[in-house]
Amino acid sequence: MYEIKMPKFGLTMESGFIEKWFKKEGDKVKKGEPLLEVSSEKITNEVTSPVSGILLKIIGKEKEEIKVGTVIAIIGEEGEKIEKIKEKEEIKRIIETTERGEIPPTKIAPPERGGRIKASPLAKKIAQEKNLNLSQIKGTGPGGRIEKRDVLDFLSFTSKEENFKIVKLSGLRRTISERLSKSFHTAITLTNTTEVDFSEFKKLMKENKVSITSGLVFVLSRVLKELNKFNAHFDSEKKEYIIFNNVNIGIAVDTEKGLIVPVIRNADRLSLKIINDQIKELVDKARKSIITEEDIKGSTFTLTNLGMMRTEIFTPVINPPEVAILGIGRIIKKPVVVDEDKISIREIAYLSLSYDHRVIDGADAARFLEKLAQSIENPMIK
Amino acid sequence: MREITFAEALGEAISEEMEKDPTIFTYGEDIAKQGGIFGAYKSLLGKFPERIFDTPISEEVIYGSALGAALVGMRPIVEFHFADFLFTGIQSITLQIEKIRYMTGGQGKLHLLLRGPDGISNSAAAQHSESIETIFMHTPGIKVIIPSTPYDIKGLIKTALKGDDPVICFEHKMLYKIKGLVPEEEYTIPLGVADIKKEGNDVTIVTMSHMVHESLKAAEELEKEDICAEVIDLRTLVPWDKNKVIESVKKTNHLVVAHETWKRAGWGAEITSVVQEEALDYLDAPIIRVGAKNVPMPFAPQLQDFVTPNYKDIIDAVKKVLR
Amino acid sequence: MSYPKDFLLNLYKTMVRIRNFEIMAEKLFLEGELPGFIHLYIGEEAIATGVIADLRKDDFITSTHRGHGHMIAKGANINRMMAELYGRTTGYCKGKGGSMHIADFSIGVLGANGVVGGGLPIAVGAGLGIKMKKTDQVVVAFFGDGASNTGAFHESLNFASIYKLPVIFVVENNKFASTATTKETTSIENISDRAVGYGIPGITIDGNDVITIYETAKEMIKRAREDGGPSLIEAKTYRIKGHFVGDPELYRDKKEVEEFWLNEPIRKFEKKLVEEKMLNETEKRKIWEDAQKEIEEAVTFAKESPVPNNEDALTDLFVNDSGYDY
Repeated sequence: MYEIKMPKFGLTMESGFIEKWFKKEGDKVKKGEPLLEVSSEKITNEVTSPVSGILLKIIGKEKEEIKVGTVIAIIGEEGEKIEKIKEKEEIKRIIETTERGEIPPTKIAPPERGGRIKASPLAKKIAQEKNLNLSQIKGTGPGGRIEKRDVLDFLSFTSKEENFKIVKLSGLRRTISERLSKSFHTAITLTNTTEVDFSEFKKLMKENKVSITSGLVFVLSRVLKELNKFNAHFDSEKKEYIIFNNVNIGIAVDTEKGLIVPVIRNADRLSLKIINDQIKELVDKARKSIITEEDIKGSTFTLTNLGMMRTEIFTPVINPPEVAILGIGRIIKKPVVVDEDKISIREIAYLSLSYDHRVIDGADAARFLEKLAQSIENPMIK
Repeated sequence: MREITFAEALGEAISEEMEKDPTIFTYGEDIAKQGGIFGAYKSLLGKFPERIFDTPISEEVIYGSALGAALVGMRPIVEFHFADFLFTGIQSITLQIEKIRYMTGGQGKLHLLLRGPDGISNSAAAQHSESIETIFMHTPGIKVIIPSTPYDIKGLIKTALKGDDPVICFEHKMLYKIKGLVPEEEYTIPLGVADIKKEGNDVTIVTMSHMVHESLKAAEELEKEDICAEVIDLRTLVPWDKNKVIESVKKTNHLVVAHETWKRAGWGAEITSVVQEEALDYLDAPIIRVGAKNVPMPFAPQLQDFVTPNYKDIIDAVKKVLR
Repeated sequence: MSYPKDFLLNLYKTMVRIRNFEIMAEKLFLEGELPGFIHLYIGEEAIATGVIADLRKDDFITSTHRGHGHMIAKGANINRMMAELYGRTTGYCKGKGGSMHIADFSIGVLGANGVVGGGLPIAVGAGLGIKMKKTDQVVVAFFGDGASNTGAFHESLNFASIYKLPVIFVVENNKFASTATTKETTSIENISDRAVGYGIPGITIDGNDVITIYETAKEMIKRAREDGGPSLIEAKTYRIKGHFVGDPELYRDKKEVEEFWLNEPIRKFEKKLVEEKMLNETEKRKIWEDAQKEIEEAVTFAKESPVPNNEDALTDLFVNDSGYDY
């Protein structure tokens, strides 16, 4: 008994196609006699019988593609039983694979991407280590690429500690913000106003010989620390909402050259006195036009005070990428209803809080004003 | 320490090793009577008459015979006349020398040295100006040394002659006459150890051969503008000192690779690629390569100058990465 | 044939061993057992056998892509050869070379060679090394008629001639360079005529007559050993098998092959030995059976040998370091 295997003709042949059998089962074959024709790639070869005998069994059929080394026929002696042989041997036939185009093309949605920020790998690495958001940093390299020096510059005016945390928008907020953004392509600014009794506050400030603005920065910074949702930046392209730990309050100052917004850094950690001194110094610098870039960079929230002019209620414009701004009008004496339905003359002013509705809801704004009003009406400066 | 030329340092290395090791012999075209077309063997004239000889112009058999001679225990040094001509016998190197040890499962030691001039010189034109070292970096199986100073060539050639692997050495034509300090005492330089030819903090320039000198000139000019470049001479291309390059890039954050061979797919591309693979986070700007323009070398002097990279191109590249 | 019986029977045994190795290699390849490709020396056994019979162990040879015969004649270990054909770690090249790159430097085989003409410069270099060492070793470069048309051939003959190197160039003219006939591709009838151009002796002989080959080689080897310089022997033979196993052989008539079978070297030598009563039927059967047994054992050895580990691919490039990691 002799097993005829699919031969290998040449280096690359992996399988052969049986064109034709010259013999059929039961035929006598002589050694060297052609048995079958096999084609591979572009070559057709005759396979001759390596032995003499009877072709007992043809396993590889005509027009079948069969792997090299697979048994395709058995030659033996007349009457030799082939049950002994693995008659039912599985032939590793190579089946023509599925036709092209049968599989429907998978739909792959393009990945969502924000606008690309160009930054050198080194700049990215430093930013990641310092937990910085590159969108905050202005690149000065070729094509606006953010380089190491830009990141270091940015770091030099923010505290060396951990300065903020990045909150990725939740699905709902994200949907809202995307929808709104699509419709308006810009911040959705709404303004809430509330009437506040400044009587106690004004008295206290006077006692401490500080300005109303300083007092406002003081209480505002404490409220912002608590309701830090407002002490934030919003990157609409990257859908990133950055909440800062440091409270840096910008103060809008009217100068001859226009509006300038010097920044009181870490206001929540400063005493009223220091805040007052800093404001004086900054306003003075602003009016004298000797203010530096350093003094006006990095605010996380802005306060605008029109109290010295005839305005009570207004809609301040958010200073991007901040998410809210507080405006205060002039304080005037008004009769108001106080405890037990009595009328009393009080020092009244309106707080106007503009906020970006893409990230802050009206109720948030109301809560913020509530908290702030309480702090003003029951002032504490310690 | 005394000053000798690059050619003299090469001659000394060969001569000293031949004194010590009787299996070393050297052959090639125009060396025995002429001392080499650029005087590489001038200092060997008259020495070892039986062990230095001229051959017919039969490149394939010159290189292939070095392999045969090494296999029977000799240490042949073959001069290849002009690097350009390596192409006429290249199968003996790329198909035989580089592969035989590997494909025989590590049989035999191929202690042989192929050496000769390469590089651009005065209007030698397209068939006598090539630097083709990249090919031997690309095809595994031969070590590549490319010294830039008399000190380096002596130390590297000695290492090659003491080692057991095939080595090819490219000597820039314009370097044979330069002088440098070479100690009289015995010393060797290991393969795969780069040399920082000048230290700096602002930008790393990785280079070899004649371009080391152009890079140093560029660095000098840049100092005037307060740019402090570090110039690294790889000295050997296979193996190359990856660690030293990456270490420097971590310090300077900027890299320029300067070579005289064509910019397109020159070895600078390999260095660039490895650095970005392994030290991307330390790069503050794209890596820039300086190399010859991608044409054969033209004859007219003005055209040659235009195609050949020089120190000005290196300065431009440095300024571009530091922009 | 005034040679001792032992000597003659050794020649016969060597040829039979080569033949059986090749028959087995062909069978294994056709069964898909062996990777790569295989070039058979069937019908050319007399050349390697006759030439190498006069070489010492410390002499060198360079071989070709059709190199199994040269290896066996030079005394190679058949187990390690077969293991190499299987790509196993016990093979001559640890599975990194295969049929076309089998070598054993320790017995002077400086490698089969996958490049036509590639071995010639190496043989010349070995001759040059011997000349420098001033020993009396010699080198035999085996190559085909195809190689005689390469530049390497002409460079090598000239180079060996001018330095009088101890190299014997043996061209095995088997009438084919791959699928092209020698007639179509070669400018002259006898390749040995080319020796004239290099001032060295050239001789054309019957490449199927092992005794003639032995005697001619012996003369040229003696000449080389005694510093007489190189020579060119052309042994005319016939490549009975295709260029490689699986060659569809569209370029020749099968009848031609049958004719040459009648003149194949083993049968030819056998007839002579029988005529001169140097070989009887029992001896003959034993020699064949021994050879078959040896080859079968080699196949078992190869199959039982381990396949290489992936990391093995990253070794053996250089002596002084690995060479792949930079």
